[in-house]
Amino acid sequence: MKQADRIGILIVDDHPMLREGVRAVVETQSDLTIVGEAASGEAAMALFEEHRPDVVLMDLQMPGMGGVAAIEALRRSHPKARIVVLTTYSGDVQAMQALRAGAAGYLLKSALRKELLDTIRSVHAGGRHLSADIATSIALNAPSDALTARETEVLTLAAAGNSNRQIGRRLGLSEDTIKGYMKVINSKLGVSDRTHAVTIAARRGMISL
Amino acid sequence: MLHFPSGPIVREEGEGAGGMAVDGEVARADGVRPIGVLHGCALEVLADSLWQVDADLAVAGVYEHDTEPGVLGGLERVLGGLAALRSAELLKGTLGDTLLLSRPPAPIRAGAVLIVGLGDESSVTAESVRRAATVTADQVVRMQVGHVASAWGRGDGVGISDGALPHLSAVVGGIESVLGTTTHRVHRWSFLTVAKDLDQFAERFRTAFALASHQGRYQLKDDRAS
Repeated sequence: MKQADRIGILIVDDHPMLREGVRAVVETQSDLTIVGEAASGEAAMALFEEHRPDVVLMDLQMPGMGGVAAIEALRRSHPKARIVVLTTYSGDVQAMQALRAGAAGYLLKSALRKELLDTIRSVHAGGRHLSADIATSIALNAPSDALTARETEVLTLAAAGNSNRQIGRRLGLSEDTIKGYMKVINSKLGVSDRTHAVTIAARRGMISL
Repeated sequence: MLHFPSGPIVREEGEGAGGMAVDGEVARADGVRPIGVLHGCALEVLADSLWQVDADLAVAGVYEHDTEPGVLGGLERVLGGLAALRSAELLKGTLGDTLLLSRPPAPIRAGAVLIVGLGDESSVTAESVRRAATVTADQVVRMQVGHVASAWGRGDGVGISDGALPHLSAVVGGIESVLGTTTHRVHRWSFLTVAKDLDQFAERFRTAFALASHQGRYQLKDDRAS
């Protein structure tokens, strides 16, 4: 296959080993080629302009501009950019953030070789892709309310081991107000205590521990 | 109307590899009815469900704005609510829109599930069906799938009405347009139905296959002339 007919791929990940692994898998395929590698969202923007890849494989957690911000920026300047998230985060909230930002696919780094190749080809053809377990997680959690920015802030401070009084002090709010926030958070997550709330929120990608 | 006699499965290697072959293949296993061979791919009607069928890829065709679970019914139960994916706008059902779900959980037996948009049900035409079939076949070839199982629309009763014939022909035409231009060989394509509709659906499909075969040949001549 001629070079110009191949699906050009840009890998964006701050871990060189990951990039090398993806390159090793992709380069066994005659219809796929790596056109560039970037270690940050900022570098990805520049390389996209230079190489105009057909598909971008994007990590979420990177120094500087994170993956979701990079997806938003790329799609703003290139609305037809086809982006697949390749991440370790299996939470439905992170997946939804990335998909709403414009990602066409969401794949876990634990994916099988064939799954990665299928995803690249499917997304290049205009399709969307999700691991079934993430689709299930999104489907199961879709009816529940998302946490507000303030609720996320409160829960993040709770996850760091702060009491309601300490959280209140940090945010300039009364202890009773924080108690109220925790009640709402527990209700939204369907749990009865703060430990469980932190566990669920971390698993779904609402907060980072 | 074409007729397939009863008898054991007889499948010649390489049969029909250059195009459609209606004759030469006879099968009457329980729950499966052969339709024909299309560029080396054996088309058949199979009484099975999307979530139980043992295939490399299960394809579900869904209408836009459809609130009925239809062919997704079983998948809905297993995956936990695809309706929610619609509300999250991950699954639109617009014509040609696709969502690939990899590594589906047990008891789904297919290696992956591809959901294909059929567009608004009230504006479905043979041309839109052909487009959806073409998109599906394109994804199948890109994924280098060997055995595909597909079910479109509502499932029960699909494909047995008088009006289904041009749509079934369009399905064959759409698949043919892709399989005829690729070196990858899809060896089996199962069109799923419910057991009570099996024979009627197979009969309709064989007629549609014959129609599409003739139309395909004429189209080929036109292409060469131009």
